[in-house]
Amino acid sequence: MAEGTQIIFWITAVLLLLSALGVAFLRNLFHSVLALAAVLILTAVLFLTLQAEFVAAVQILLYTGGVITLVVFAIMLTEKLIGERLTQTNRRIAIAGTISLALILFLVYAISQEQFLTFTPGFDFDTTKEIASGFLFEFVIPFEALSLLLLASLIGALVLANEDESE
Amino acid sequence: MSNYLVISAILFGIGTFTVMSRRNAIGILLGIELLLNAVNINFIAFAFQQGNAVGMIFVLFTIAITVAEVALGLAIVILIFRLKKTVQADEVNLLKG
Amino acid sequence: MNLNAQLALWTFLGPALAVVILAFIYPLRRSGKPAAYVSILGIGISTILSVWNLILVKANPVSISLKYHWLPGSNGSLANVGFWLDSISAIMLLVVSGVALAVQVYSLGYMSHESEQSLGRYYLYHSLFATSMLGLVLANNFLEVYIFWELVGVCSYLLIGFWYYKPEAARAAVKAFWVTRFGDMGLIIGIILLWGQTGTFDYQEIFGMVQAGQIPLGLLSLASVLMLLGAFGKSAQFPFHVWLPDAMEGPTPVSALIHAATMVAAGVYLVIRLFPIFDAVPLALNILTYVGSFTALLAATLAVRQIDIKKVLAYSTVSQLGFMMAALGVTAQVASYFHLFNHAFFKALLFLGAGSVIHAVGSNNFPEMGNLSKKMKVTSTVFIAGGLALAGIWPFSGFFSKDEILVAVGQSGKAVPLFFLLLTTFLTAFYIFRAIFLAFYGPKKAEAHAHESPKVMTLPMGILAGLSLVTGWFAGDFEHLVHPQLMAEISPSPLPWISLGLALSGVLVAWVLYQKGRTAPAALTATLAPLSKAIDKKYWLDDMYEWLYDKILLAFSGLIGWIDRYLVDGVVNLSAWLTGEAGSKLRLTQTGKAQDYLIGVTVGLMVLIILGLGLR
Repeated sequence: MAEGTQIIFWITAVLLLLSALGVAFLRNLFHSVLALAAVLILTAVLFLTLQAEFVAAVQILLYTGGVITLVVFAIMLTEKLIGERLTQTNRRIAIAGTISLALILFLVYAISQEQFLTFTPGFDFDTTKEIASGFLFEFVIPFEALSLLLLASLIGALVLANEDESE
Repeated sequence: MSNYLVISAILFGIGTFTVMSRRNAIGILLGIELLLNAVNINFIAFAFQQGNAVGMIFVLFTIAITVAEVALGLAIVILIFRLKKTVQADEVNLLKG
Repeated sequence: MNLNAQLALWTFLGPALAVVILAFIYPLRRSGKPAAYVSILGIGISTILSVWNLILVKANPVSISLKYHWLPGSNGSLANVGFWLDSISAIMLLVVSGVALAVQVYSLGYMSHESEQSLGRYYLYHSLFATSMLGLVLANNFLEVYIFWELVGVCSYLLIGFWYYKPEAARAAVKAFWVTRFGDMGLIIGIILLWGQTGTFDYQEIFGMVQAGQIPLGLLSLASVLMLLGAFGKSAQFPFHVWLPDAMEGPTPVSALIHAATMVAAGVYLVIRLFPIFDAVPLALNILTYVGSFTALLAATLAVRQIDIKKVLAYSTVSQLGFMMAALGVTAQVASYFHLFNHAFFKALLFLGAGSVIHAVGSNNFPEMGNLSKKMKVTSTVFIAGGLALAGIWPFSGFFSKDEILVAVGQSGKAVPLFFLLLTTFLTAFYIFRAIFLAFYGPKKAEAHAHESPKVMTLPMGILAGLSLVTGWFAGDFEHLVHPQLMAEISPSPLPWISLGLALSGVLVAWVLYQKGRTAPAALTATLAPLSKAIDKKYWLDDMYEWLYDKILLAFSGLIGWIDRYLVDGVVNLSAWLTGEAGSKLRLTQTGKAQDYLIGVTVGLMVLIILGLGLR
């Protein structure tokens, strides 16, 4: 990778991980959500360094825009009082931490063992076009199924959220 | 390339930790977001390495599905909140054996 | 199939078909007299055919053994079904069917007071018994004979306990079954031992092997002694004799048929049929002689003090069977079989006569009888004829066969058995004439009510009486008939005279004690007090058996019960409890909280992957 890309990568990576830790540890839920938003945006930056522009755009639009909005609404609806945003310490932290750490180490170990086949990295074609043709040719069925899924979740969410207003 | 994979792995681990340790139900959903993001990074890294757009296609699928899932998950959380007046995950233990 | 075989087959099928008809056609069975006629028809056919068969066999001796494959085995058949018709079985066929016919006809009169359903049931059992006994006689392999052996035992149980609402009858039936079961265990173990050694159940094959010396003597001895136990059980020899007196609770015709002429003779018949085996085992022969002669004497001593006329006859049967067993022990099969033949007829006659008396007087006991000869001329005549035959007085049949036995035992040089048998001869004459004098002569007690029995009862008795007079003269023919298979030699001997003398003196003593001086018996009893007490208590044998049963058998089953409840059930209960405990501890992991489950899943996943990697 080019030098510039490298630097961007490292900065982004560090910020990414810090934000992730923020999601995990910030006591105030709202702050967690903001940290998540940061994670999502930084991920999009990472995508850019990997020459996946379209995906990065979609990430920002859908994820950062849509998901964060949803979560914020949900938080608003589920807070009893404005002031009560504190969450207590969870007694599972020790076990969870150990397991997560073990998981990370395990995965890193696995990655280090792998010999990756060397291809010529990078794309010499228009990835967006490739994605489009992929959706409409090779993966047309999953694409249609996806639209079904979205329809289903839309209806489902409506139904679930509407319960209270029935007679 | 493997750097990306390591980042992805660490992000995954943090996501797992968040899911396991957060008390608030919405916090758990945030952790799930982290997990899915880690996976996305993985996909794109491999797509880049192989010069293939398939990885990106999958990422788009994942994003779409994640959005649907978050919507529904939040709907459920809101329902439970209405029912039990709490979003503490510990107090939703109706499956207790 | 040649004529003899066909006759034998239909002899068996006659009562068998009667059984099927009576068993399945309920209205017929419940109708009483018609059921009786069906049964009598069946056995009548058997009798006619067996007479015909015997005449043919006498002219032309045959030995036909037909086999039909039954159970498949790894090497040919495991077991066959079939029959063996030769002079031995032909004779027995006639005995069984003839006596059964006489008894069934007699029962029409004796059991006329029974309800119709009861009567139907009675004749069903009779036909079943006839079928089983005929099957036993004709069987040509061990498995088949065992099946019929057991069937005969079942019929005995059913018929002894015919009046099942009487507790004594029910108990007697169970006792009979129980005691003979003991013997039967010996029989089946012996059969299995032989089969294990030879691989076959067939009589003739095994005889061949025995005679060729292919079976080790030790095993053969063990098997034959065990089979002897079965024979002793069925034939009520010591120590299995205890069931026969109690079996008198059954109807008298039943006692006549089963417990005098046929079923108890099955043990003797078995030994005769299987003689090639027993002949090869000196130990078995010795056991036969000593147990037989001892039982004869034991039973005779017990008979002299009975006040129930049927019990006298029961002990008498045991005693005479002892004679037959002793004869077998000295390899005098012809004499033994001849005595079986004669005994069947005169003992059945005696029982039927006793039945006639009981039917008239309403009681089995001597104190309630007396001077019946006045009103019951036919009965008393035939009973005395039977008594003379039993006592062995010339020219009645018993004289000939009993003497052949005595001579054979004498020739064998076994002094103790001979002494026992001679003493028994004296006692036999004594007790039967005691019975005769007490029942038919002397002061009147019940004869006001007594009446002669109807023709349907007196006719069979008359025929049997005639036979008792006549069959003795056929000794030569009998021997000649059976001769091809068996050997016997009678040489001149003083014994017949001695036994005749003993018998006559027995009669005399009885006459003196019971006819002339009625007080003398009481005085005699007083002088022989210990002995009479012992006899009255049946030598405490029954008590001993009861004690054994109580203390040992019940204790043993109590132990088994305890093991079952606490150990066997305990294991099951323990595992149930463990499961419960484990469950209640493990349920604590089910907290209902999703995050705990996630932890579990993740840990499990990692463990699995590590294991997977490790295995690679």
